[in-house]
Amino acid sequence: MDFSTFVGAAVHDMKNSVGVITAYLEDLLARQTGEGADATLLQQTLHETQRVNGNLVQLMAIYKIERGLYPFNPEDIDFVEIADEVLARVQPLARIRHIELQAEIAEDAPGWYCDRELVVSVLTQAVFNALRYTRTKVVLGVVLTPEGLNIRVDDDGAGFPAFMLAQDYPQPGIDTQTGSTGLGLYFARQVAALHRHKARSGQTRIENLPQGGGRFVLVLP
Amino acid sequence: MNDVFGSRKFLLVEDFETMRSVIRGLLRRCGAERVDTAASGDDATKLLARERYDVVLCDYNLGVGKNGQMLLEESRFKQWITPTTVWIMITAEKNSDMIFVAAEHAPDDYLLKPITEGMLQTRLQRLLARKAALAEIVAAMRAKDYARAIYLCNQRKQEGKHVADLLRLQAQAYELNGDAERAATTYHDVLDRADVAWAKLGLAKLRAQKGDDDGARVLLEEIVSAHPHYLEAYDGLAQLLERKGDTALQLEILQRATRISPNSSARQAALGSVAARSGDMQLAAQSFQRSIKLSEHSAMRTPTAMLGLARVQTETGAPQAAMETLAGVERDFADPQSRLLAKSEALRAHVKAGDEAAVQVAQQQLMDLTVGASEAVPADIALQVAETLMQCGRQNVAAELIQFVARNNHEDQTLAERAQRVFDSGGMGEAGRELLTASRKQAAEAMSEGVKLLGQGKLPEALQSMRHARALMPQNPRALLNLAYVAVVSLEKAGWDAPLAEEARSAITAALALSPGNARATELQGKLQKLTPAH
Repeated sequence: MDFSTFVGAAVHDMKNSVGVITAYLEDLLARQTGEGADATLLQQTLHETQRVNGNLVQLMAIYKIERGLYPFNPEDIDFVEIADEVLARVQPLARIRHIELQAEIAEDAPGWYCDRELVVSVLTQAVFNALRYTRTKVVLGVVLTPEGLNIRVDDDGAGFPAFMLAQDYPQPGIDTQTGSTGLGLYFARQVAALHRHKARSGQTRIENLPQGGGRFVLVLP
Repeated sequence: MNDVFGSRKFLLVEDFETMRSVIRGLLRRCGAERVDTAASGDDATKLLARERYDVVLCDYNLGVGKNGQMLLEESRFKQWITPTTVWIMITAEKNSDMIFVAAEHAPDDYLLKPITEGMLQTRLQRLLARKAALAEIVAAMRAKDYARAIYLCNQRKQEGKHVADLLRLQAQAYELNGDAERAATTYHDVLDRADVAWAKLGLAKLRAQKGDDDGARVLLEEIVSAHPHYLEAYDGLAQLLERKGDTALQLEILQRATRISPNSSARQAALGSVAARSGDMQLAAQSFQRSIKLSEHSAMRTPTAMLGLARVQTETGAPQAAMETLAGVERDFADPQSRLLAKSEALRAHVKAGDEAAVQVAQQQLMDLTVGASEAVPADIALQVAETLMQCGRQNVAAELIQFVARNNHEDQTLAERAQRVFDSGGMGEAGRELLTASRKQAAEAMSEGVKLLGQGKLPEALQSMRHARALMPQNPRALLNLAYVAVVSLEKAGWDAPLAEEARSAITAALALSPGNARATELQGKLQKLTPAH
């Protein structure tokens, strides 16, 4: 047994614990009446727990993808369902922060072949991230473009700082100012690259919107 | 929304107590009112056998005993669940064993832990809606009404929902309906949208069926390189290489597949057989042992791995161990075919052990269970037994068995070729060819003689001739039904005769056992019924 096997097993076990903690917190929250300080505290605890889970899931997935062990499994997925699932996960936090969540799925954006778990994981993390920096709302949009299915997460915050928009981002290591590890974007890029159709493969990018705010884009060919 | 779940019956199977109460709590909050729980595969088996559930949520890992997949397969096989039951597998992480099981064994969906209320609710609603939308098509497929299934798929596709499911079902329906061309077009439609492994596999199977093994191989190799976790493609490739006789490559492919997923009993058994054929007895024994262990708790287990292991044990000079393994087959499998094959392997072990008395007994038993059997033995199994007799130096007995098989299947050219190979393997190539030709000719003549006599209106002579034909080929449905037909005609002409009626009835029953649903047999059965005097 080498060290990475222990890491794998430990992450696995941690995920189980996080799952139980999450469920207990949800249960406690359901018993709260009104919007008191306790409820807000519980919501924040729940959110942090979900962040831990998200990170563990991504670490596990990257570990497997890089060793060719990830059981990549594209299925025909309806993006209305994907949006429902992603927004259901972030809704509790959005509520206490008074942020509005919107899904804008274009009528002509059909079902699309992708790995459900990976895509949900990327988008959930992107929406959580947007929630931290936005002012009033976060929009999960899906449109069909010539490059493929275009899934975007828009916020109306201050937009991405210049260093993040640079070509070589993310570099491994933690940014002391933002607390960002770059793991989310690295993971998103790995996931995009797994999705291929004919000669094309998926992509990610971040950009700033002309009207202000940031946009994360996942393109699936 | 609460009504949607409130009226359904749920079963939750989870061995970990904390998780069980957590998920049960989630289900309650989603509006589920009727929730049964089970802590193990065995507990779940009892509940599933007794109750009808609309939704089963089942952890893949259930500790000791059955896992979730075995429970699902058993439930489908024993029809404890219906085509409308939603089966959701719960797992802590995605793994190949679970995600890439063959389509007919796949659950409706899987949920990754941690499960949240929102996720459970949206997923359950979607799955119930999908099941409801497809139920009518699945029911038509089960009733073998493929034309209707195809019609329904076309109709539902207009609505734009569940298109991938519909295309998959439709391709299956075309295939089962014998329309390979439209099935292929359907798979191509899917592949135009995305490189989907199941569609490519479907196409590969169609090519292989047409005899285009090279074309099938190209596709299978594409799947293996683009979707290295799609294990069915390795199995397909292995089968194809077996037909080609490329044992070395077949071994390599199955080893790759078992490295990705070591937990398939059938694949380990396949690996064992190839390893034995290529002379790697250590790998063969190891793979067969794994296969046996893996299927220990499965309701679908077959004796293949145990028989394979016994052969390896005999060949590596441990006939005693082989006998113990075979005792296990006798203990665990009650069906006549398993017992016959176990006896056949036992013969090899006795020969190896040099126990001539036991060889004599086993050889006689083998003949009693084949040539002397009251129920038909499938021709390929009988030939396997003949091959064993041949390789054990029992040429005369083997030849007798092969001639019996050849008479009963005298119209079957492919079978005759296989029978010839068994003769070849025993060094009886030339003599075998003559014996085969003679027995097939004898059977064909016996068959046509009765028909000729009947045409000449010589009823008693025809009856005699048909009896002779039946004695020569008691496992040939046509010979059996010819006899029944002449008997029925005699009863119509000459009046009721109880022994003759009994003779006809037994011939019809035997024919139906060999060829279930045979139209001519059912027709004769009806005629006989009408002739039977009322008491």
